[in-house]
Amino acid sequence: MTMPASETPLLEIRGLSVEFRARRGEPVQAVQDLSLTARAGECVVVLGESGSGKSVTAKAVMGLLEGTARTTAGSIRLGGVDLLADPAAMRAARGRDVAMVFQDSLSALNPVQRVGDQIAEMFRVHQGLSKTEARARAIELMRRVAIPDPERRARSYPHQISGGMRQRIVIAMAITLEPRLLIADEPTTALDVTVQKGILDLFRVLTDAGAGLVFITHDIGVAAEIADHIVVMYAGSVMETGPAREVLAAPHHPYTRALLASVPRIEQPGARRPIPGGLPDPADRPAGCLFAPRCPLAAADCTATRPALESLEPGRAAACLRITEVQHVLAQ
Amino acid sequence: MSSPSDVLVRGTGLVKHYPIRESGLLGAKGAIKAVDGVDLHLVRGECLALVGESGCGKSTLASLLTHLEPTTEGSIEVNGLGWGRNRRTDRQIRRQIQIVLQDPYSALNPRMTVEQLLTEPLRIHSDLVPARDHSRRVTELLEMVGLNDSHRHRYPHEFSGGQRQRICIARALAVTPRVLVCDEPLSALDVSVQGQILELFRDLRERLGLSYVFISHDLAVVRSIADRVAVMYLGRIVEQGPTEEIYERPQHPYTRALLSSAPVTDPAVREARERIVLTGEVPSPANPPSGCAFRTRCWLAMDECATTIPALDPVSPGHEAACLRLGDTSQPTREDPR
Repeated sequence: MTMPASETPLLEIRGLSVEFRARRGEPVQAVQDLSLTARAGECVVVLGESGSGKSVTAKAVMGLLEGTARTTAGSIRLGGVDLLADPAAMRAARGRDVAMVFQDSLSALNPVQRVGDQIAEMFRVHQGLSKTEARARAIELMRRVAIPDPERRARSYPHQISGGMRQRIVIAMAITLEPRLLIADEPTTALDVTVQKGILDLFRVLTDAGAGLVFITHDIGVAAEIADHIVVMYAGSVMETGPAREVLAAPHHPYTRALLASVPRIEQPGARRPIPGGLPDPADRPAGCLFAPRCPLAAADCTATRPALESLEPGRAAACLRITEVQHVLAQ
Repeated sequence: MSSPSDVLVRGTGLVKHYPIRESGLLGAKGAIKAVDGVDLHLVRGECLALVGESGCGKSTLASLLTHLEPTTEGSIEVNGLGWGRNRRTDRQIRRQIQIVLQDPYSALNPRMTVEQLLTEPLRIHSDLVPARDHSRRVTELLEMVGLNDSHRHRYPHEFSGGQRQRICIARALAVTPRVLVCDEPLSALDVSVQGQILELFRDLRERLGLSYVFISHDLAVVRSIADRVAVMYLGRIVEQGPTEEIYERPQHPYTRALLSSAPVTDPAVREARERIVLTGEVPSPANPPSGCAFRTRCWLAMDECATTIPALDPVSPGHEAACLRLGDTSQPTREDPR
């Protein structure tokens, strides 16, 4: 975690496309032309609903795509090395340079091994430490992720501890080898709010210590709590990207705007404006803009042309043909 | 306060214990105290939200209110009729109070068409709508929830999650209930679809004069729909009152902690608010702490909290909280994980 916030970003994804081969018909595009940059000490949130391609993106970075999924275009550079072009580099990087925290901590842990031993195993396998040394380091790590009474907890089995505590164990395992980059896929979705708060604080401690974080969520409130930078995805494509505060305060893309206007907020009582319609069928997506069927600003060209991401101001971009009209609305 | 005739649902002294049985041994070894002494009422036309974290007993309370499970102790009256007296009155009550569950994927029989799903309650309560009018009633129900006649012969798998939840709501409305108990009705839905279903609940309330018991862990959703909120912790209501009172002037330390942990989108609001990070874990409902159940995580706890179960005390009209340290607004000394 010594990398400075230099010119080379920690993670640089350019033009990534992932597809699933279907049993019949055309392959399904899970992710299309996604670009994303993560820097040391920063949290990038990938915000999206189900089917937006956010989890597939995470798996692609980890080289964990399963079944018929495969990357068809693009590059994933970690510290300058293209992981897609070099499977050996991907294997070497996994765990050491980049680690993943999944949503479901119960299935991420071995149910018949004590949690302390599971962390200690990382030290033994990767760093060849002795049993006693590894155990001591595991307990130290558990203390770092704010697990109270770690000596006693280390002897528990996963089912004996709470969901929040298990998620802390999973995070401890992910940071064992001090990876420069953490990828967290909905890590707090299964947790209660008071527990979620603690886990978000823990991730913040880790980024403050210099780790890069790619955080995947569908929850705008959670995104607002943790993000430095936001990538908004919809139906496999990036709709908008920019600094979190700016995107949330003045979204450019009609989808981001509609989403923010539809979701109830704890700080704003009263009714919200729901988005009409539903998500497009992944096997039968519109040819033009993916959001056009639900967009209040959609015109004829929107259903014909898929808009590319365009930059309106430094650091921000949105994929929308009606962007000047949105700006007009914003200016008023 | 409301007159007794305005009260549509009243639960008195509700207790639900699930006995724990050790394998190989007969007889109970203690019990999970899922609901442990709850009084609540629902006024005609209102939306009462039950909030709290997993294991607080809010879903158990939903199944007690709809008599999907019998109470261990206590009684529930719906529009003056008590559950569990005899089969005939139970049928009467069932028409007045219906439930909408969290997961619309498992709540619908996959082998039944929408028409069959919506006709089933009409066949069970056969004196409500004559058989020759069932078809018309199905059309009416579909339109009520924003679907249409073309959906009638389709199967659940042909619908999206949001549409399935609409079918579940239509099925609940088939017997023209006065109360809907909604147990996390949005949690399984996509974010952009949640707003539509919330809007549907609002619309139905206006058109049909429905009342709701709305169970949710999402404090933002609750603020947007509820008139009154009851906060639960380990089987008891620790605070209840008008929604804005609870959100603007929470009194119980647990309510304060809960509200302070909910994600906030607006950075200015986020930075201004109280920050309480709870330590420790929710105790097991099989072995709750003596006295106030929250005392093991409470920064205000004193010796008396271990011996006295605090009762709900009035704070302001309609707002009450169960805490011996009411009025003490000090914050916990922050245990920074850094």
